[in-house]
Amino acid sequence: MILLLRALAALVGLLLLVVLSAAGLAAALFNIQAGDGTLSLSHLASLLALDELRDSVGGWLADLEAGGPAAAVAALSGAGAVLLGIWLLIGALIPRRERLLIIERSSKGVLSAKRRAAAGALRALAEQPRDILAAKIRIRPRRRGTGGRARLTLLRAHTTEPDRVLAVARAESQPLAEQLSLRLRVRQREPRRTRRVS
Amino acid sequence: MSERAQRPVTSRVLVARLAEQVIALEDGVSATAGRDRRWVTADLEREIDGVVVAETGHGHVDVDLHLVADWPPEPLAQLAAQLRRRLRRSASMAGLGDRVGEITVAIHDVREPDHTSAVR
Repeated sequence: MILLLRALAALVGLLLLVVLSAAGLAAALFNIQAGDGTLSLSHLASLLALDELRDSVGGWLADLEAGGPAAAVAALSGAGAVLLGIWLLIGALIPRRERLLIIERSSKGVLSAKRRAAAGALRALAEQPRDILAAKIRIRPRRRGTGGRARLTLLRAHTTEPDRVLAVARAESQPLAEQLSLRLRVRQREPRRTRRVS
Repeated sequence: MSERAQRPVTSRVLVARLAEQVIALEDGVSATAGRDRRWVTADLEREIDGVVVAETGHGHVDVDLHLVADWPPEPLAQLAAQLRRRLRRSASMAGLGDRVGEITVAIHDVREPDHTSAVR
C-alpha cells in the first residue's frame, strides 16, 4: 500500500513539474514581443481566453515594459527565481553523501566507518550500565585528517552516585572511541521530575 | 574446475575474486553491496558484493572493501591490517602481487550476529 502511495506521489509530482515547466516555457516564449505581437503576453491571454485577466493586469505589465521601479523589482524577482530554481535543482539532483569518519589513513589505504555505524556501536556500549536509561551520541568527523569528536549525552536514572555511573559509562565506551580515533566528551542528565498529583 | 573459473577475465576481476574470498574467511565481518547495490564488481554473469576494484592508471588496482562488522566489533585497525595482509598474500600467490595498490576498508554498519543492526 505504502509503495503504491509513494509511486502515486512520485507520478503526481512529476506531472505537476511537467505542467509547471510547460507553463514557464510558454510564458517565456510569449514575452519575446511587446504590445499585441504574436509572441506577446497579450496574445497568449487571447489564446487562453483570459481577456479579463489581461485587462486587469495589463497596466502592471505595461509598467514592466516601460522600465522604472516596477521593472527593476520584476527583474530582481526574476533573477531571484532563477537562483532559487538552480539551488532547488542542485538539492534535488545531487545525492546526499554522509561524511565518513576516517579512522586511519596510510600509504596502504584508508580505514573508515560510517558515522551512523560508529555512533550506534558507541551508544550500545554506553547504555550497558544499569543506571543509564538512554544515550545520545553525536559524532563530528574532522573535515581533513583522521578522527573527530564524539559528544555522548547520557540520560541516567536518579541515583546517589552520579559520578560513578558517568565513570562506568565512560569506561565502557572510551576504548572503542579511541579505536575510532575519536575524542570523547561525556555528559549526563537526569530525566525531568514529573509533578505528583495529590 | 567450474566453467566460470575457466573463462578468461581481467586481472581486476581476479583481484576482486581474491578480495571476496579474503572477506569470507575473515571472522567478524561480512561484505555489503549497499542499499542500491553501489559497491559491487561485475564478474561475468554475477556480481561480487562489497568489493570495488578500480584501475589507477599506473598499472595498479585500488581495492575498496565495503563491510559490515559483527557486534561486538573487533579492533578495527587490526581487522583492516589483517584483511590487507591476507589480500596481498593471496594476490602474490596468484601472481598479481604487483597489481594491488591501496586497499581501503569501509565499515558501514555494526550488527548483532543474528543480523539485527546495533544502529537504531
